Amino acid sequence: MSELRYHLRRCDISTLLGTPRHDIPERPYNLRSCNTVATSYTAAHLPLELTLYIIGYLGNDTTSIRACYRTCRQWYHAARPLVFKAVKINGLIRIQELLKMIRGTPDLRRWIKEIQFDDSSRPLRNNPPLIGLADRAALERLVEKLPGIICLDFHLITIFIGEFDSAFGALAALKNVRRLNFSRCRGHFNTLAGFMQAYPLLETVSIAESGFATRDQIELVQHIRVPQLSALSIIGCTYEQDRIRKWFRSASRHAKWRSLNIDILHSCYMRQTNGLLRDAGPHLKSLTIKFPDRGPDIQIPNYRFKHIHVAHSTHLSAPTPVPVSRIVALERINLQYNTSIHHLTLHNLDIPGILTLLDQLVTADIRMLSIRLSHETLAETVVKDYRALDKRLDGPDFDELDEFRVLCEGRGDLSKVAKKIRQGFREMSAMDILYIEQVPTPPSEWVLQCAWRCGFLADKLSPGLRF
Amino acid sequence: MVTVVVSDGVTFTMEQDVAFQCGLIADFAGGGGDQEEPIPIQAVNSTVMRKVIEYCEHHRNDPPQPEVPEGTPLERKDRRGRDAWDKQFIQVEQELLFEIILAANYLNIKPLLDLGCSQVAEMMKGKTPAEIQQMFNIVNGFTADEEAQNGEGEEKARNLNS
Repeated sequence: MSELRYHLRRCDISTLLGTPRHDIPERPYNLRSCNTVATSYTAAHLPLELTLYIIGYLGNDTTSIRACYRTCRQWYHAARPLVFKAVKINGLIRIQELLKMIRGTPDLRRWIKEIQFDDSSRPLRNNPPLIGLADRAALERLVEKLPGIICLDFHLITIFIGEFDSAFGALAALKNVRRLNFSRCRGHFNTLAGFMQAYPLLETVSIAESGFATRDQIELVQHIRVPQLSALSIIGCTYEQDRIRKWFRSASRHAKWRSLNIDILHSCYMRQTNGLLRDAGPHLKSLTIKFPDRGPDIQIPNYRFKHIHVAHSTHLSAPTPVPVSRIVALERINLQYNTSIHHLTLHNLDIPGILTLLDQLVTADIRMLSIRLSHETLAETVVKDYRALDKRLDGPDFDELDEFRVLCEGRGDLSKVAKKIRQGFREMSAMDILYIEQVPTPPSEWVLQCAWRCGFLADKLSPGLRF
Repeated sequence: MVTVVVSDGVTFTMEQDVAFQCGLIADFAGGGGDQEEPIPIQAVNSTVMRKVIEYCEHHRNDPPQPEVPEGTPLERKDRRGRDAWDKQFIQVEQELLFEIILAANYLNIKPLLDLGCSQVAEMMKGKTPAEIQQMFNIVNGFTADEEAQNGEGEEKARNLNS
């Protein structure tokens, strides 16, 4: 048992650092026969495996990881693979630099795990593509040197139009890719489809503020087989509903969706959301949904959700018929019969709104409740309101609640807000843990509108392309 | 009941569900009934063992953690186990903190190991190399040449990320 767990720990570290398992140092001594008495230990005395484990907890905090890199000899070796984990490519020169560096430090081949193609530093007018067809050979050489890449990130690639035989087609050789992220990109839908088709281990696709034209070649999309794909996020994009629905239905035949994050307001304009959720299948465990106070009720299928995030006030109903008058009266949310929701996040509802919603919530299984509000709203909320919520959460409906989070969006003095919240939540015992965190503000309406206008403009300029 | 004897000769007796949170003790006891002979735990002293037992007693009724599939990156694992009690528990002197980490590793108590390691990582966040060296009393140990090379390496890494 002990050996097995130790083995798993080593696997974790190995995965994190992207090193083959045999490169992790062997256990320094036989634990059973160890006679060392622990005295006067400091960080420098920790075995390398534990140093690796600790540095792994720094996540994507590259500044701190770089600080570890220069702390001492042991930490240098532990942090080095993480320091070089992600690279950004913003043109042919960077590819050539990278190839030169790999020649000088062959270990980089194992350490680099993520590539970000970023076109943000160049002006947007009539540029040649970031990576043109002429650069394909260089990109192919790079891909050959970095077979262990697991994440591809495309940011602001505005000339992404063309089939998968464009320069980016060289990336198809990376067979270990598990995550694809597109943010503020534009291009042809078949390019996107081609990427998905190319990676048999693909697990997560995230598309934000991007537009992909579909033309009439949806047939290719229908043949996509992505058996591992289980998480999809579409935020602030402009898609034609029929196309995305068709693709989603096709993909759903092969993918077991665990997580969906769909911004309906700005993304899909999908009147067929209910059908989309039905297509998603019973494996769906996490759903984030955002749409305005209009349109038809969204019916949440009776899957065994672990996590639901509802942004803004919503019309949301359970599949079991509920009297129409009741839905109208609710105006907010009804999650009846979905009794296995463990984690509920409420976004942009003020405290009275949350109280109204909780009164309608017929589920006694919430274990983690998060409320996400702007700093201004939190600062304006009076202690009395917090007390009312505290009292509500202390009731029998929330017996299972063991974590309550307040997420504060935007800038402002968190300590003042936190003090007021803590005054309000007197009843929170050790079992109902209260966290107060400051989180980044999401993209503004303005940014999202711009993304939409880009798509609209492209449609006017190139009628053949439909965004 | 399970009895253990630690490096400074102190004996601890605990209930089976508390003791079996330590993978090492569970292995020694073979998952069977009461253990008659004390189990020697030579790499842990009594101060640390008291803290370990305190942790295990608090978490004795926790549901078993789901098995993490092989190959799951660290950042994707559930780290929610750190509640207010845990936070309070791990607020200890630095020396004791590292001893707890070593003991958790030795005794094979993964949640406690995670708790200790995440606490150390929290302490390091946003610090410069000099501040980390000072905080943890670490001697740099680099030669001037190595220091210069590391500086270059860091610069390269920064360029690659920017």
